[in-house]
Amino acid sequence: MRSIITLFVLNLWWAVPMFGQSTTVTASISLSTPSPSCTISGVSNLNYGTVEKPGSGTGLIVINAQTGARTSSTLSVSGSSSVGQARLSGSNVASYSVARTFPSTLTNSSSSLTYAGTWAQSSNSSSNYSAVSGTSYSGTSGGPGATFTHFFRFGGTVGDITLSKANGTYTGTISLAATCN
Amino acid sequence: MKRYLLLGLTVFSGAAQAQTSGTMQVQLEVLPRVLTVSVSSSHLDFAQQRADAGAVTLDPATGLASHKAGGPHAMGEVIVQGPAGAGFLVSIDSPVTLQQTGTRNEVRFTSSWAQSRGCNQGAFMLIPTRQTATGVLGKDGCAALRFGGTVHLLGTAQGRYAGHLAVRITPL
Repeated sequence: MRSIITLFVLNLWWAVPMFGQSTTVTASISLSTPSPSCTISGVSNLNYGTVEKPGSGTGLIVINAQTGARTSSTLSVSGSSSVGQARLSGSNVASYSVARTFPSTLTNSSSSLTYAGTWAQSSNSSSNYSAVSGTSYSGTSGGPGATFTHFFRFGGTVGDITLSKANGTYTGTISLAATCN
Repeated sequence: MKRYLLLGLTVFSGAAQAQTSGTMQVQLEVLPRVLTVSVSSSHLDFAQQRADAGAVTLDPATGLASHKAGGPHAMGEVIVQGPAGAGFLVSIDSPVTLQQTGTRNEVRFTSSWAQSRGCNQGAFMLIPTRQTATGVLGKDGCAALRFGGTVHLLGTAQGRYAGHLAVRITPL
C-alpha cells in the first residue's frame, strides 16, 4: 500500500507542474519547395526531303532553323521538308538549361554526308525564334507553382553531296538533354 | 525549473533538380540524277535517192545531205533537259538494217549524231564516236542531239526501206 501511494505521488509530480514552474512545448516543421520537373520531347524530325545528285562538283542543302526555309543553290530539291522541333515543358522550375549534340555526318549503309547543325529557341511554338549559339541554352521560368513550355527548332547544312555518293536515305540523330532547377 | 518537450517534423518532397533527355532524327534522301528526254523529231528521212547513188550521208552537224534528193530530207532530233552542266551518256545501236516491206531486201544504215550544247544556239558539233559518247547540258540546262547517218545504196532494189534506230540516254 505504501508503494502504491508513493507511485501516485510520483505520478503527480510528473503530471502536474509544481507551482512556479512552466513547460514549453516546441513544435517545428520543415517543408521543402515543390520539386522541379521537366520533360523534353521531339515534336517533329528534321527532314530535308529529297535532292538529286549533281552532275559535277559538290552540292549542299540548307534548312534555316529559325524560319524552316529549305534552300539549295545548285541541287534539284523535291519532296516535303520539315524543320526539327522539340518542346521543353515543366513545372516548379526556376531555371533550366538545354544541351544539344549534333551528329557530324548523316550516313546510309555505304557512304556519308557532312552535317553542320543549327538551332533556335522561342517561347512561342510557331514564331519569334532566335538563333542559339553554342551547345547549350539556359533560361528561367516562374519557379514553384508555375508551369512553362519552351520550344526549340533545328536545321543546318547537309554538304558533300556529290555524284559518287550512294543513292538512298541518309540519317543521323540529334541528342537533347535538359536540366531543370 | 523548465522542461522542454521538442517536437520535430521534417518533410522532404524529393530532389531539387530534374533531368530529362530526348532525341530527334535527321533525314535526307539522295536520288540519282534525272534527265528529261523529249523527241522533237522522230523522223529521220533520206527522202528519195537514186538506187545507184552509192553512199548517201545526212550530216547531223550541218543538217545537209550529201546527194540531192527527191523531196525534203529530215533528221532525228532529241532534246535532253536537266540541271545545267549535267553529263549524260548516249548509246546508239549501229549499224542498223533498213528493210523493204514485204521483201528480204535491205539497206545498211550507219548512224552518226551531233550535239548542240544548249538549246538556243544552232551550232551542232559532230560526235566522232558513233556508238557511245558523252554529252553535257548547256547553261540553259538543255542539249539538242541531231541524228543522221549514211546509207549504202549500190545495187539496191527500188522501193521504200525503213527501220528503227535505238538511242539510249542515261545520266552520268
